[in-house]
Amino acid sequence: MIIAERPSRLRAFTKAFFRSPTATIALCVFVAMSLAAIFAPLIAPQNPYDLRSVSILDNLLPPGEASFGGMTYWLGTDGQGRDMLSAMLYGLRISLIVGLASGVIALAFGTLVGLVAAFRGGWVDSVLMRIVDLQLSLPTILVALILLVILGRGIDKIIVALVVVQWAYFARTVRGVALVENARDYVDAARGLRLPPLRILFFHILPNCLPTLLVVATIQMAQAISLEATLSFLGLGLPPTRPSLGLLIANGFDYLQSGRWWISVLPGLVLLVLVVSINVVGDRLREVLNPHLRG
Amino acid sequence: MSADLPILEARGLTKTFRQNDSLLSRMLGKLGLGPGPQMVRAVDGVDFTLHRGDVLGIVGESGCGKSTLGRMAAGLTRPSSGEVLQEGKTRDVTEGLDRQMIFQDPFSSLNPRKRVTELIGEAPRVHRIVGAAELETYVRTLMERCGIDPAFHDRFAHQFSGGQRQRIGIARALAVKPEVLICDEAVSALDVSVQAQIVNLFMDLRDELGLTYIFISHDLGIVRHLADRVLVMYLGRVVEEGPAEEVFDAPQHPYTRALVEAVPRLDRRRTTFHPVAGEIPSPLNPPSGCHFHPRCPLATDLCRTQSPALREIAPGRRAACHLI
Amino acid sequence: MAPVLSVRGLTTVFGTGETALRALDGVDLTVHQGEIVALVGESGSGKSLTGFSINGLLPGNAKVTGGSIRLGDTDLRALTPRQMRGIRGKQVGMIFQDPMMTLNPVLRVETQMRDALRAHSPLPRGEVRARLVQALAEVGIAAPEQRLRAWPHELSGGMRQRVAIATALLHSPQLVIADEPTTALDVTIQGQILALAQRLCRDRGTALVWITHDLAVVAGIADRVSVMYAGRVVEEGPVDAVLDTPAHPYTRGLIDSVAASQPKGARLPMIPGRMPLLSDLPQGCAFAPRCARRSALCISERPEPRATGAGQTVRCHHPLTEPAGAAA
Ligand SMILES: Nc1ncnc2c1ncn2[C@@H]1O[C@H](COP(=O)(O)OP(=O)(O)OP(=O)(O)O)[C@@H](O)[C@H]1O
Ligand SMILES: Nc1ncnc2c1ncn2[C@@H]1O[C@H](COP(=O)(O)OP(=O)(O)OP(=O)(O)O)[C@@H](O)[C@H]1O
Ligand code: SF4
Ligand SMILES: [Mg+2]
Ligand SMILES: [Mg+2]
Repeated sequence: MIIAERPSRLRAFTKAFFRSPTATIALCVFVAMSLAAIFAPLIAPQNPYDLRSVSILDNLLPPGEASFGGMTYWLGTDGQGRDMLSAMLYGLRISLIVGLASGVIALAFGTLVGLVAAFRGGWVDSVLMRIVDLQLSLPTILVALILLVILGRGIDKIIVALVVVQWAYFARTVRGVALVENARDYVDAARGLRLPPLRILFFHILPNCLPTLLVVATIQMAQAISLEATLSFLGLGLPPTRPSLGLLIANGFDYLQSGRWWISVLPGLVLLVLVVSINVVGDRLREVLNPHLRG
Repeated sequence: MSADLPILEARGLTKTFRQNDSLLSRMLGKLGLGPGPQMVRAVDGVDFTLHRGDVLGIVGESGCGKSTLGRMAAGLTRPSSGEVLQEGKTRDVTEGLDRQMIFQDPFSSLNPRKRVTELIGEAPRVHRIVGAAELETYVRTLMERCGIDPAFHDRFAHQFSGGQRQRIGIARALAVKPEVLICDEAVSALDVSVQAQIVNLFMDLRDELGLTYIFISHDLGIVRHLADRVLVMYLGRVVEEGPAEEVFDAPQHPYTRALVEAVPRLDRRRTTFHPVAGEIPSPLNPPSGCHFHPRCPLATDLCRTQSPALREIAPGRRAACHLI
Repeated sequence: MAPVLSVRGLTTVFGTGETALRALDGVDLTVHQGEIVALVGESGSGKSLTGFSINGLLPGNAKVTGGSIRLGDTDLRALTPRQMRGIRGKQVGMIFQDPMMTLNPVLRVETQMRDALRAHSPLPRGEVRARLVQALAEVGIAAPEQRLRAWPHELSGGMRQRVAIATALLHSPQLVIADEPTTALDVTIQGQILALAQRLCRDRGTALVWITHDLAVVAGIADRVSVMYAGRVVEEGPVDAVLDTPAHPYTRGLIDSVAASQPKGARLPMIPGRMPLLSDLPQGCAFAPRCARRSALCISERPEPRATGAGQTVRCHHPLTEPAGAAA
């Protein structure tokens, strides 16, 4: 006998999520920005990496000016004459790639560490968690800075640095949730049924950790994006030829004094909107998913 | 498979847990800077013998070690010492599918992310108990046998009531063809009318499949109804053991007497309760001698200093009390 | 003698308008001085809700929409929330299954008992302590002076329940509503609490409503019992009459389901099916879909309370106290 024809969890979850107008707007903004980033090569008026299409003569034009070539720079140009709109679309693309890639790798690695710690317990758990504590006690920026000084520049290098400073959050969260799940009777039942340990770990415990992981992953992605921007702003991280949002802000910084605000402020705004919208989405996920965690 | 060998035999089963067990407190303890982790003897030297088709009841109040004993019998917890023999042979307790556990909480004992088919069918599929082709029919048969409409095979556990979930848990255990079911408070969370349905199911399965049960419960009425023999535990030790009816109708150990006396019964109206005084002591710091002595109306100096052995007091009955 | 508590036709609903759910429907309850009345039923039958409706502690989405609740001469439904607060704790005590509903985990026992005491009676400081020590001693707590200084988490479950009871009794209320106060306790500790409740009624003449799902507890302490099903009292009467000669088929089924009522090893008689959801209560008798005696009348018309010869009141068209032929 069925208690009630309840709608599926996914449907209930989506419904609950969209009940918040703020979160709905934030999600739309995020999706729009992602689409813009993905299709940047198709929608950007110019390829900012292609030096032939950039004319130094067009440099420092304010928003709305037209170029010698007749094209309008809706958001102005920077010090090298690059179209700001195109530069920002490409910059957004890099920021998102960095955030997503480092987030996914840190998530995978941190989840593995957290699961192993929770499942094995004993000294394995103690040792792993002391490493996590150590990692979390060091200031994030400092660790990333030092790593980048050692590793040098490049998109792969910055992803490595971000993974190093982020995996520990995932490891600790996953361990906490997995410990709770591990103590539930269904895991004992699975053990009693002598299912292989790896199967229990990945097919029973892990799926029940996913809601929490999703929340942490969202928030960490916002973190990674702003961290990358900070590092680029400080001149580390990405090469100047392929500017991310952070580097664009840094490039425009010198011109702020002379009243050419758009070069710095516009990418700053984009960064702000991006990070805030991801955070709002993450917070809403947390609100909506939490009651579900309690069975 | 000789008929006279007990299907399950426990010898001196003991489980100690470390409480307050962190790396730091362990290190401090080793260095003599702190008390270190404390030891709890959750189960202390328990023996029992279980014959095929029998029901062994385990009763006692919270924290007396019923669940820990059950988990050791089910091979979910490794004993600190002692052994479990199966048909006379020692075996690694954490092997084999022939002992399955039914849990108390019908909510947390089913994985919320799996459908009924998967909950019941996963283990037989992984262990190749039935072929892929027959799996679906196998699961349907089990569902039917346990009183769940097979039409609901595609549902998640949260869509069922407590009693239905408990049936799913039973079907899941039966799917690996166990010989012994260990039921830890398996009906305690259910309403009386649902309890009756599940108790009946247990009795039918026993008759049909020749199952053997360890039935753990704090409800003396249900244990008396179901069990052939019963173990009464107090703070990790067995204080009395014997045929269920005899133990409940003529309890010998002062604790069993207090327990039987304290249980309200349908046929005792407006009784004046004369409960045994005192709290259940902390297992972290159990009383010396006989664990029950601080609450026992008959306690002597001997009880305070020496723990009584579990001795035979009549054929088939044992008790651990100096005064019997 | 006038009853301490008299509830007539109590109706409580969740929500409003079209989607409102009738969680209590015409509940009657009478408790005299020094009497223990048990409210028994399965999970979701509305036992707690009855208690909360009486003392005005309903959740926000619930509302009493009909009936009367009289405590002595006072009509509780006519009171303002403020007046109700004055009565709660002073004239009506409450004990819950989880004593932590009463006890604040971050306050010492003494602090919270003192606050509870001074909320309704301004005693001079010096006397407060003596009064609290006495209150704890009365519920059988050894070394009450030391226990006063304890934090709730330092006490065992049984001890916490005693403290909660002592707190509920501070102002010697005329009526105490105890909602499953022993369900979470061990058998020997439950025995202690039951003995305490009996003593309370005998010595102080407190009227006690004891909510439980355990028929054996009802047999052990209650004078009268009300059996609830799907928000209605289906049978009410003296304990002996209800348990020995139940009139309602549901009461019969409930008693028979208790393993101890059957010969050892026998199959337990079962009530098929389960309690209906509030959202789809049958039109007639709420028990009809599960009832072996039901007739067309049961399905179309809801039974009103009626007296049986043996002293009970029953809501059933074909009570078991009448010859089976009537159930055609
Ligand atoms: N994993 C564990 N780690 C530490 N201590 C434990 C663990 N499991 C049980 N204990 C302790 O062992 C003792 C016995 O616990 P157990 O759960 O076996 O009791 P129980 O008789 O089943 O009680 P209940 O009736 O409350 O279920 C308790 O004091 C408990 O605190
Ligand atoms: N906050 C709420 N919102 C909606 N319905 C509720 C709420 N609280 C209780 N109910 C419903 O009211 C009915 C009566 O609940 P109540 O808590 O009184 O049952 P009970 O008899 O005390 O059960 P239990 O033995 O489980 O404590 C149930 O059907 C329940 O689902
Ligand atoms: S009214 Fe009818 S259906 Fe309801 S309990 Fe009585 S006989 Fe059964
Ligand atoms: Mg237990
Ligand atoms: Mg309740």
